[in-house]
Amino acid sequence: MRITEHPLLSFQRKRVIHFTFNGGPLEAYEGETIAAALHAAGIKVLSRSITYSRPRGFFCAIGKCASCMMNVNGVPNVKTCVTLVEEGMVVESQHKGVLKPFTGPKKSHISHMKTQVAVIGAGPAGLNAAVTAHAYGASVLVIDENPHAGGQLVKQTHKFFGSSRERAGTRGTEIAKILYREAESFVMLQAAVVGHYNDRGHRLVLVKDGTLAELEAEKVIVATGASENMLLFENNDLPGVYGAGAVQTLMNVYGIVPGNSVLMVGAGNVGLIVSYQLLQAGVKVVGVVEALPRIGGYHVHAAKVRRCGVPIYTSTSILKALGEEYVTGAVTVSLDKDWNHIPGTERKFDVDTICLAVGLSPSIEFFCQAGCRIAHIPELGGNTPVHSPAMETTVKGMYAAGDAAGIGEANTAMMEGKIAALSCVKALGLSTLETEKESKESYEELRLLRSGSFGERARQGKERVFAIMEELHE
Amino acid sequence: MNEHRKTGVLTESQLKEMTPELKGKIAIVECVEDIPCDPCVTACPSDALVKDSLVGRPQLIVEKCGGCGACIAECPGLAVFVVDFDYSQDKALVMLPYEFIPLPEKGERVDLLDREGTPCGKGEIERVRVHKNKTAVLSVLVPRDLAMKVRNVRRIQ
Ligand code: SF4
Ligand code: SF4
Ligand code: FES
Repeated sequence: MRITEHPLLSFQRKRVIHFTFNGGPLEAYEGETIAAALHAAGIKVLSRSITYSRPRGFFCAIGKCASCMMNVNGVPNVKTCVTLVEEGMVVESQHKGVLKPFTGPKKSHISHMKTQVAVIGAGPAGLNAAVTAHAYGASVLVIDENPHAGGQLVKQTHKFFGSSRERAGTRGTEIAKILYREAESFVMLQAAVVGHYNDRGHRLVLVKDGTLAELEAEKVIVATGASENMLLFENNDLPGVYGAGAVQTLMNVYGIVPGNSVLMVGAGNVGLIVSYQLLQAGVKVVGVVEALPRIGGYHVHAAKVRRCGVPIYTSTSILKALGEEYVTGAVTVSLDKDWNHIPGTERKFDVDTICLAVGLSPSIEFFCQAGCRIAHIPELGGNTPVHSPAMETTVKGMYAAGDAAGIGEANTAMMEGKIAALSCVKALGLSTLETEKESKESYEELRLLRSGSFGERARQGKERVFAIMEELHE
Repeated sequence: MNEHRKTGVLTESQLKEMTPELKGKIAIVECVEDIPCDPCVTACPSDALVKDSLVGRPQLIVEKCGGCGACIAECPGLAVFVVDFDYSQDKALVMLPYEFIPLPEKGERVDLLDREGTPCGKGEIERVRVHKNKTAVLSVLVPRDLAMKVRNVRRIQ
């Protein structure tokens, strides 16, 4: 199940590590997460649900959905998709609500840290924000709960669209490397921000290596990204139903294929790109189904998978997943123009993986905790923090950027990160003629990226957000 | 709604409209939407590709295009091909982007695939060039009448 040869990626596998799963010995490579290592060993069922004892596998693979929780070294509810496997680790399934008794955390001493700009999330928006703020003299700390920086960039093996002036034509994986190289000295990985107090500026509470830390920041840029949307269908909780981002993580970060044959649900850019990436990893894609009567993604992405012989079924939906313990098939159905199932059009596919690429929702938990005003903006993926064009939210000194500020794509995320950082730089009194110029150019670049018909929804969504912000100020 | 939005495949009439006269060696730019993208423009050493804005459609200035193929591996949409319609009496040459392994070798016979991935004949690999961004450009000899059909190849197992 591990990929050894890939047309675009190379996987440097480090030391072999030994651990146990439900008492049995297993091997993994250093640098793999527990969930990835188990999947490579053919283990898809990680735990069971509390009430009905349904099998549970991972879904998002980036620490957002809690579907992968297991008991690790006696500690229950560990998110195994973001926890690296270690030598001698004892990994156990959680069954039927029997959480093994837990002795409680060790008394930790709380360390204090200080920075001018705290950035939450080391994805395209967060890293670009950090690099920008740092370049103009602000002290910066980036915090991310994942073991790797780069967020969704590290999975994007395709060359980027956008303007050559920025980074178009460069593969996402390369952009992640470039940004991380610049930011490495001020990025803290495997650390989670779990609290926010604004009694004295912004005080964040972090958990790192099982201990708490307090971080005092003058400005906070929240770039927490998004989480994959679920879709309602029978058996949608079976292991083998994975979010598109999870499939990319498994395949492009860890070099592990999700299965042998995949049905893709969703023909937006994500669904099309991930289908192509699956083909590149040698996985069969039996088809792409799309409920809308048309392909949502760019034609050029659709053309790439079509000329490899992958059919795209528009006006088609997934009806159910087949299987008891994990996915063994999928049934789809055609839809009429009122979205009703057309009887007799059911079609069965023999697949072991169903990949969902049905949109994203901004990860807004942190904004909520901090008391930012939230608005429901369907064009931006649902609940979105209200913010100004300068990316400041309704809580002074707290900025939003990237998918967390409304779903877009990596280029616009990077640009928003830059704008948020430049706004911080300005508010900190560090701006120069150069920052003013860069800020002007960034607004223009962002406008260009959202021009054209594919940018229309995001454009409208952002306008609504800005209008709400303005109203609140009056 | 344009048919390609439903199928992911350009129609005959769309192709007719966008391709220049089918002669000589020339880029075929199968990019028909207003997407924010421009690496093809910067890649062309002869200024043969232009866009009126970042989201405009790329336009080919036929007289300037020498069919060098520099744009093929740079396009993130893998949407640019170069066709030499007059390669020989019975053969045309199609240059296409390819990102799968193992790569076919020079002289290898391959299945020719159309825009739907359906085999439509056999061809021969004339040249394999791997660009530094890891996209390979294959030059494939195909029967002349398939020059505007073939957009992918498959190795014969
Ligand atoms: S084939 Fe060469 S000359 Fe023609 S458009 Fe492409 S890069 Fe320019
Ligand atoms: S680089 Fe490719 S996808 Fe981008 S505009 Fe040019 S032809 Fe279209
Ligand atoms: S949190 Fe681990 S799979 Fe979602």
